[in-house]
Amino acid sequence: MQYDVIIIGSGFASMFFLQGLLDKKNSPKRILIIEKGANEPHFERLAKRRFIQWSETSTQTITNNTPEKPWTYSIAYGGGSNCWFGSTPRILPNGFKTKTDFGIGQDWPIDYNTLEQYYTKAEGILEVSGGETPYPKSAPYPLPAHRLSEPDEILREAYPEYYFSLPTARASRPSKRPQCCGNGVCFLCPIDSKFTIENGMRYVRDDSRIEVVYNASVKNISHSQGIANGVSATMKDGSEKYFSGDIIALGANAIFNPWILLKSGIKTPQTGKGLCEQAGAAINVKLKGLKNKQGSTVTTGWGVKDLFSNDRSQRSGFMFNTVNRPMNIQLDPNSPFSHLEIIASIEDFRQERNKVTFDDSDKPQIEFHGHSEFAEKTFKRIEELVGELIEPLPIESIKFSHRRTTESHIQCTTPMGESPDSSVADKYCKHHNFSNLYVLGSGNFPTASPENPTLTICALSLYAADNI
Amino acid sequence: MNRRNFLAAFSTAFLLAAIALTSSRARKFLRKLKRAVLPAPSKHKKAEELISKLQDFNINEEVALTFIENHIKLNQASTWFKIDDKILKIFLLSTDYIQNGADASRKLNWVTYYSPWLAPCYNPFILAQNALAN
Repeated sequence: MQYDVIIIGSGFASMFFLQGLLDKKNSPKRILIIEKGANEPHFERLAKRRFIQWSETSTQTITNNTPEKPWTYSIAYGGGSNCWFGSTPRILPNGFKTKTDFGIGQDWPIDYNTLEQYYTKAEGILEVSGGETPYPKSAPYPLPAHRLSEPDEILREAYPEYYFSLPTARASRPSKRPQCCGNGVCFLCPIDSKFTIENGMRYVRDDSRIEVVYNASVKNISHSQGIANGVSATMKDGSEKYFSGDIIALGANAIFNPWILLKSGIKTPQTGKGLCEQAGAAINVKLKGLKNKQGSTVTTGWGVKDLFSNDRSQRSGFMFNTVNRPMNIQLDPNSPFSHLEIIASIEDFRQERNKVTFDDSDKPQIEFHGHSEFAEKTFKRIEELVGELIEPLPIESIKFSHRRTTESHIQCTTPMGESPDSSVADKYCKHHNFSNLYVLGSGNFPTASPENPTLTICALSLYAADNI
Repeated sequence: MNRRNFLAAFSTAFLLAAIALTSSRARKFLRKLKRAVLPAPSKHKKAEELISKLQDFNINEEVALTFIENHIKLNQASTWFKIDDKILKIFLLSTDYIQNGADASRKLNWVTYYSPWLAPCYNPFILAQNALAN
């Protein structure tokens, strides 16, 4: 069967690439989406929610040789949109050039200004709620910002340029989706308020140009002389099918993308290497005489001051956010609102010792031997560094709680760059060695910025599609 | 057996028994045994226990009992469930405590069982803030 475009995966990277293609003047006429997981509508997931762990698939579908570091993702139609929390910050302009500005990590082959219009377009599709931010923007957010809590307001006043209401795809007002009511179980929003591929891109199922096959596991991408010819997949019934396509886009995730490339014999020096994600820290703060948790969604305040610090040349930068979980209510009647939960996310950089590899088994092999020394330097001081930033609050105590084992942001295994020796794809997300093979998603990030990656994944896919 | 040997054997046996009894499997077994042999505590008893753990709050038995009944029904639990901090927090969130300014001296009224799954848009903190805004 011949297709104009074959897209592997149906998460953000794939579906925003699809959106970008459909928006082109000469949009493709036959598109195939191959999804490894099932088609599991929201109501079905809700019905069996007791059995759904948002990390369930990661232990079953990979061989994790360093299990102390879990990797979480969702294998199903919609991919990560099923289990994400809906946070959609942009990466700050300096996050694209940490090498130039701070002398650490590496610069992206694309800058903020190039991506800006695609950020705006992605925010429109995701119907992001947001207000004033430090991001240079060409258009306001589609929905107003979520309400901040009292501690957030104090920090906002103290750092007007660096502290703001987190832009999010959890609706602040009724829109195409219901208004978020702060239930805090965003990994499977009971009222379907956060954007998912299912609720935000319903047209896919009605569009006669698009065909989706579910429960189909990609075996390999066939290729010859710098051209990707097609995709072989094992179907649900165990049969094998071959689909040929003019353009092939790999949008699984940062574990499965390099694995599919490697098992297809598409090897470049960096494929699968540099696996990383942010280092995460949870911090508990006890406040004196201040109400808390009034923010209108689960995470509201977003602090990025550290990302402008000159210290970033010596250690990784970090951002932090505040959490409004009702279950953080305190049993002490004198201070029921006193607990403030803060999560800090620390940027990380690629290291070749952390990698995805391919062997004879039917699963990717994962090795992760720790974050970079820059990230660890920041991690060791995180209580003190956050403490300095939240000094404007009436603090009774501040205490590091725990290292978060995962931020659920798998990145950097198929980085973009200038040359095939140091990267896998070019700045248009096209594989260096192929004229018609696109590698999409957060695997393309050359560095793991502290911001949540989803919006940048979407913008990059729109940019890639626009430049075909 | 001389006295020294007797003491050594006794200490070893005591140590082994202590380890066995504190292991999670042993604790689980004892818990099961207790539940099989003893009658389950009444709902009233559980309500009293809840009230005693929140002594600084003004809670009448009817509200506590409503919570216990809801908790058992909605979680398919028996009255053997442990009233820990998590349960106490769910209880406070199930009342009008937060909406009414978190005044512990005021009598708490029942609202609804707090569960983001059963009542996704019942968030007392946000409702309290919305009430202030209006």
